[in-house]
Amino acid sequence: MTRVDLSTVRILIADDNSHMRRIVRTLLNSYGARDITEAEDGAEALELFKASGPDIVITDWIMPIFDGLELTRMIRSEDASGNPYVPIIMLTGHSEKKRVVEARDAGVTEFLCKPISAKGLYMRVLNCIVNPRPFVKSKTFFGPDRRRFTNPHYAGEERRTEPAPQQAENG
Amino acid sequence: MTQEIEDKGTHQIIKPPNDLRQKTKPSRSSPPNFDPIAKAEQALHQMSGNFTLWIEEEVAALVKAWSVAREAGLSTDSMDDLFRAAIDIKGQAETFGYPIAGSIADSLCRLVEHGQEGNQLPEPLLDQHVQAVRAVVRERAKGDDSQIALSLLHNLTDVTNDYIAQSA
Repeated sequence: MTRVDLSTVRILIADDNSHMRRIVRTLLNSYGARDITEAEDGAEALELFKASGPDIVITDWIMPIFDGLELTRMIRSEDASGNPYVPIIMLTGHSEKKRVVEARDAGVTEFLCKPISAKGLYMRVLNCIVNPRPFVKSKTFFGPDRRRFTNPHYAGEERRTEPAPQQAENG
Repeated sequence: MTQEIEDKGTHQIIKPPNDLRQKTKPSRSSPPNFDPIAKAEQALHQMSGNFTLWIEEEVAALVKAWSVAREAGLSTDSMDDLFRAAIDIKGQAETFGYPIAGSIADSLCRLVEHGQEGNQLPEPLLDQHVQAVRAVVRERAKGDDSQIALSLLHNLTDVTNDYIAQSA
């Protein structure tokens, strides 16, 4: 397995459930992460995002004030001060495919369904670091390339007029 | 490091600088055999002594949300609160050792979402879900060896599926 040192990586957790925040923090600490901040809702998460400039954001979907999807859109928007390219991991009890597509279309980098596992979260964090996706910017979308896999042997012309959804990654 | 931008006419492909790769490079002093996943599983196991208390707190939140909803009526707000409490249990119950409670909460979530799409919700069926989650945790029905809990889950799921199919 690829080795990474997470000791200086700044991670923001946004989840309204205190038990889940404690579990995520414990897992991240075990991976070696030390610089972790927590937010109880979308508004607090956006404040902390602007103030602390995290390297990775882990957010729940359903939260008070505004949810994880809205938080993602705000982070990716041109108006948000901060790093719009920050990797965002959506950690949620939603497991339906339509939700995965919705999250991806909002600009989420990785999708992870609860129940959480030590391996599942670690692999998402690792993926953000080792396999960062290029970003696509069009009139209607800004976020990580929704085509996770590029066929290196494809020699035809570019058919994409808009970065349309093609494949959903399941968490 | 700078970002690379490729213009495709209708859109741009942007490759931001990967500072994270640099930032996470293991130092020479990093232990070579460190297994982050094994360490995290061990940490999760160590905190599992709290899990029964935590699931009880989640169930209490569900029961409270349902009690408020019944008194105030099945409004959009009260159903949103019920859904939040249910999806928390759906997402966490397995981690806390109560997978059957999580599956019942999943059925409740589907039912409430069906109501959020404008369909009438049957109050007795909502109540049966809440009471079933409560009973499973109260009786410590953790694994698949509890036949009563499993049968409760299957019956509720079947009735919910039928209801959603008929009223869609």
